[in-house]
Amino acid sequence: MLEARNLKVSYGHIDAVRGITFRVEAGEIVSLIGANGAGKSTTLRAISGLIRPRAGEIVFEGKPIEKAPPHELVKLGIVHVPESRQIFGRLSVAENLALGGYRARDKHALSERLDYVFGIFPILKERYRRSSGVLSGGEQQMLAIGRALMSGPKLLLLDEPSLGLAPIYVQRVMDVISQLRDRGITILLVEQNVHEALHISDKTWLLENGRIVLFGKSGELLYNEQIRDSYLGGGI
Amino acid sequence: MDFFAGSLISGLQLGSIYALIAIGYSIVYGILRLINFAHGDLLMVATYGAWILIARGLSLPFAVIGSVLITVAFGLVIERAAYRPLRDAGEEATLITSLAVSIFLQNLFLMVFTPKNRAFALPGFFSEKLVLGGAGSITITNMSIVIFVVTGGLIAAVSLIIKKTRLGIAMRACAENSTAAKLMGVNLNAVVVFAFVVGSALAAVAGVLYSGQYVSFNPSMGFMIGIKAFAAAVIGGIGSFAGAAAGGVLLGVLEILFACYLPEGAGVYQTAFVFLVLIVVLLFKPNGLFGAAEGRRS
Repeated sequence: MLEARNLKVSYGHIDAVRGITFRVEAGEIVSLIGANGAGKSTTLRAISGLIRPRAGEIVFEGKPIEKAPPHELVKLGIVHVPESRQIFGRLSVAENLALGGYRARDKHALSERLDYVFGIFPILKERYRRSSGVLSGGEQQMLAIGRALMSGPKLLLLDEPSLGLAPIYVQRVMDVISQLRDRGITILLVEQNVHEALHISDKTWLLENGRIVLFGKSGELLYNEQIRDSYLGGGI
Repeated sequence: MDFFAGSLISGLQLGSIYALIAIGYSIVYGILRLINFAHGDLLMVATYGAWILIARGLSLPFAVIGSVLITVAFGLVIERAAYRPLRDAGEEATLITSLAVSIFLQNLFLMVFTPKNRAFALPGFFSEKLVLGGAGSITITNMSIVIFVVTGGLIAAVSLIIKKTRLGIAMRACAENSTAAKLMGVNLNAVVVFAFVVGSALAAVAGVLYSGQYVSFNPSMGFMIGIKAFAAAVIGGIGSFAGAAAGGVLLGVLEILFACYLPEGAGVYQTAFVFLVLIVVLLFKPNGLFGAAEGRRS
């Protein structure tokens, strides 16, 4: 479904992503893991068009997309839930969700999606008319994901959805991610919480210093020595 | 008392024109963090546009509509040619560019129309007076009524557009966090174009009303009005729609009251007193009366 080939991204003179190649198959949860500064978020920003890669190709459903602006990519079905949520705090929950469906013109589909979002996150229905700035961190993450679902995405890019959340919310968010996959949405997940990422995903790519250093089925990587030593705190 | 009521009416009238202009400053600033000093000169463009169309024999309403279209076209060309190429160059670069655009427009119109003062020949209807009370001493001209109805209607309409429509919501989202708005599928350029269309159209109407009310105009007329409307936007809290409208009205009322009530000899310094108000407001409320704390910039 999505393929990056020899992707390179720089900020000025700093090379953040130094030639990575990876694939995401339809219907999978694929996680990109790695330490801070490994290039995970930058990779997502390149896919969603926020930053133009210096070199390499990104192909989505057979079409090259590395030069497309973000709003075109949303139309194609790629939606990026950015790091630290970035909901519109001065707008209401309703307006945030309406913006999520900005590119969707089909009223019927929009109201179905809204029902679906309310189904998985009932709190958003309760807070529908409220300003979203007053929501708690966990509720804001739900709004960020709910907002992304309003466009009817085929591929969801999730950047650190568990960051800064209480454990109970982390579990909720992970459950929702599996549920979305079961509903046919492909997910590319960036996580620092390697344990959660390996448990929930089908395949995992490990990034270090802007390069892919390891790839495998997530279930197998749980027992990989390199991963256990560097990311899972030795022998859990 | 009657003198006060009369001054207040004049102040509200001037203030509602400032409000129209200040809204344009504010919505463009909200999205681009651009202080568009050429905004005031669009009033001048609109005034000359209407003046030419009337001279060509168009009736007043059509001349005004034509002038709005001409002004919007100027606004869009300025955005596309001068500001968009500098979108990522920083606030200082676009600020200086907007001053350059302002000087360019003034000089272009000086070349074409000469610095001569011009005036509209408006039908007598506009200067007819209605008696409001005070045994005939409080009166209001039809022109004032037109100004109140038009500015009030436009402010209400634009406020509804920003609150309720898809583009309006996108505009507020871009003002808060343009990166996140892009990720929702919002085309930033489309929103910027929309802001310039609305801002230029409001400036055009304000220009025609101003020149109709205050008689004469020349190619430099936009500068001082533009600066005052900018001050109004800052007093209200730049980036805030309600703040710009309120700041405009407040500034107009104060300006007229200063002119009418300051002691002999000081009244001519009304403009200086207006800017004194700006300084005092900013000392106590640096974000303006209605200003939100500076949002996330990305």
